[in-house]
Amino acid sequence: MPEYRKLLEKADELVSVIQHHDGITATSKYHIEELFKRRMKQSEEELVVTIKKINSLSSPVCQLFNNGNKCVLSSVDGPKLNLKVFHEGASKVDRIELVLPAGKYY
Amino acid sequence: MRHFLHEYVSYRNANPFSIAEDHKGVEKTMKKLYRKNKLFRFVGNDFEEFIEDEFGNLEKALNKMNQGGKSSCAHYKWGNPSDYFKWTNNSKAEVPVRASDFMPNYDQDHYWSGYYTSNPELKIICKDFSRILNLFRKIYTKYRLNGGS
Repeated sequence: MPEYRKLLEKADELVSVIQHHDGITATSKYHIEELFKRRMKQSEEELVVTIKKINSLSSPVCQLFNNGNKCVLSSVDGPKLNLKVFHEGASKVDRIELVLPAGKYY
Repeated sequence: MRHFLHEYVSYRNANPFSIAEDHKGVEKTMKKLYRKNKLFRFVGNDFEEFIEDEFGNLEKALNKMNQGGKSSCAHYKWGNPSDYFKWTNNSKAEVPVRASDFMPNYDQDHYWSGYYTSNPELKIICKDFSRILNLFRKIYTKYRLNGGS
């Protein structure tokens, strides 16, 4: 099975297990909960790395809802800033505000 | 109120006769709760695959019940939730409206309460993970459509 497909199936199965009993009823034991949190964190990192790879992105990636919804891009060089926004595809509206230092970008 | 629509029944190692008797007993109660002339009963259970053996037992029981002739007023057939709602939407029978709280839910001698709000941290982590997964699914689909492997 291709590498990306395998990654997708693994993540699909993981979210199914969590949502079924543990995510909804939250009746699992503490160590089980920690185990699934670790697995989700690891799988999330793998997905982000692959998304960057597929889209040939080398710049930092910010996720909505992380770090209080703020993303500081301190390592951006040059006068041009390329911003790619990916949306999960759900029917909702998210507002993104981009604050640029005066006179640095155009 | 116990809602029989969500009662899961296992037919593994059961004989068709006892399955037929079990159905008759449950349906008497279901008729009191549901005013429509179509009743829907789930089969199978959590963490249990519906094996061929179990399917065969139930199939034999349904055939037995359908051969009841004039003494039987019910007809049994396989269906899925879509079939059930299609049938019941065409029925003109009024069903009672439930106005009280749904929670706590009584299920097979256990009460479920608070599961919408318990452990919010796990829920938000799971939701965030789902977001990334949905995004990946979209990107991967586009990647495959463009000839990626």
